[in-house]
Amino acid sequence: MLLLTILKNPDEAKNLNELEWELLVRQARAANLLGRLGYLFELNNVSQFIDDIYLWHFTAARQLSEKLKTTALREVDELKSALNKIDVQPVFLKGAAYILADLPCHHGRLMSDIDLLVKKESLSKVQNHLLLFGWVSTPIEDYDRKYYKTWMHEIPPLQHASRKTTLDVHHNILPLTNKNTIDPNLLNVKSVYHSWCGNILTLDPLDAVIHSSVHLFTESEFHNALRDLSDLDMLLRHFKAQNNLFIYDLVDRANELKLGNYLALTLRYTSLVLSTPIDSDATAKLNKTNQSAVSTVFWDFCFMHIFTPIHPSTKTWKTVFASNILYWRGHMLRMPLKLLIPHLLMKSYMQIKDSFKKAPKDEKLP
Amino acid sequence: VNFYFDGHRPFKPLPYGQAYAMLEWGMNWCIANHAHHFLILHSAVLEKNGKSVVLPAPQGSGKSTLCAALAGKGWRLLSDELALISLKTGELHPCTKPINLKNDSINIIKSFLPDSVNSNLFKDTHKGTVSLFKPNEHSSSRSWQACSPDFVIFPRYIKDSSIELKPMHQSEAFIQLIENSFNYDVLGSDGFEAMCAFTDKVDFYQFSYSSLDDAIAVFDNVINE
Repeated sequence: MLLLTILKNPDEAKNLNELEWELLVRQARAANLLGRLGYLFELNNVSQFIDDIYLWHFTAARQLSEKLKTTALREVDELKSALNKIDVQPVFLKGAAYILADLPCHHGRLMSDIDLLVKKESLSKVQNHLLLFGWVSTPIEDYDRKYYKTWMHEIPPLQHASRKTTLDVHHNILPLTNKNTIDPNLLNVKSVYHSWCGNILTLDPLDAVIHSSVHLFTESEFHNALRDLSDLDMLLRHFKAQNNLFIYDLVDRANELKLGNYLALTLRYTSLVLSTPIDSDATAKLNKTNQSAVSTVFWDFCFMHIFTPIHPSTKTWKTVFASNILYWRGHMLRMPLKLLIPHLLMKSYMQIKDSFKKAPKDEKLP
Repeated sequence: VNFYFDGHRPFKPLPYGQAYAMLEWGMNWCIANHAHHFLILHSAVLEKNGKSVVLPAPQGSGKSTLCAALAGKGWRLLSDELALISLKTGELHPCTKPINLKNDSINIIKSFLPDSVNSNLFKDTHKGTVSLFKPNEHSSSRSWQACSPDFVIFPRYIKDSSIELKPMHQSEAFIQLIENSFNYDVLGSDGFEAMCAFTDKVDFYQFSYSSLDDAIAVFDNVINE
């Protein structure tokens, strides 16, 4: 597929014809990767060979990415000073952490919300305190509130009343009902320095990669699947360039946290889809559930069809089938069947009820 | 009728009869929400003899009517809605499309420019009755050609008023242009710098008028001075 070819080898963009450029722009937009390609073109000195009529799409996406990053940093700064007042040191995750630690995958990335991790004991204190600073809970049904509280690893999303930014407050990296859920106290944090926000906590490189893996491979709706896989690809390449034994350390760490199955998926699909250099003898040491050859073929089929931009040019019965299977897989991982079935029945009932009263969200015509 | 952008459907469907109006609005939405390599102002842009005029104005100020009148009397239309200021060169880039005329302007332009080509009337849209006005050949054949910014004129139609053109202070205009921009907030410091460079290059005027003939005479005068 064109987008994957160019992601792996940005240099090939020099040889694209007009129709291929059009397709690349559309696929990259659908995968939320326009800004990232823009960064890769610049990094590989390809930009100057690209005609302005194509290049602007990538440049414009980077402008938007910069704006979203500035917005995110401002929120990080506000959150840090707000929470420090009650002696809570939030640990920033995912997108915000990529910016704070200056990891290459933040370039051109379109941030949507801010994820942070706090101790479960301080959750209600944090939530009450953030309310004073304008962070309010988004409207949510009682059932959903209870669902989050009892089973999930995060509270319902908060939104800032005037700035409208969204915040996900986590107390763990996996739902409490996931059979691999961990003791969050085991996670290693690292302080990084950022010129705007000062010293800030993030997960250390090993646990950051493990968290991003767990996050991606427990999804049931893969809106940004390829973008998230590309994040992991860039993280692995970056850390491996700093420490040649990084993948080995990562395998040891995943074994220690008993999260080998998730890391196995990251290592398999980053290398299959994006040719990430993975040491095979490191992978061999990973403790994971053994799969039959047939189920490997099956899951490869599903994942290889989800790591594509969701776009009319790539949509086939296979991608539809794969996203349905992975939707169920995500739900089955989240909780055991005896909780899942009543939950899904309740959700369907609520959806049907809502479809009568809620209008879909649409843009206003200019 | 639906408007699709790369498989997404950003708007609610409209009645079939409003398809062309929706296409025009949808295209403006695409540009204003994605073309962040430009500083984008909500303005009409026209050019004559190598001199350009930007007409920023809120709805109801008669901007589109004046724009159509100028475009019908020898001016080149760059856009009736979007001034695209390149962040790289500071030049104004055209996005030449039919001019969207609303309600009373449709008949005013029909009697002012009897030879003009208009679309059918699209009735009962969210902006009332709408008709699309075809730009002249001179505008559409040069829709690739950018031009440097020269004048910014804030127009205001005041019924039965006499014509008035008065210079406007740069600092006041700066604030108004920011309020008028679609993506100033997205561009951050690049937007501020582009806006500074733009305001340094142009002369600003406030302009009120009631007669289109008089208005065109004033515009021709401004660029010839």
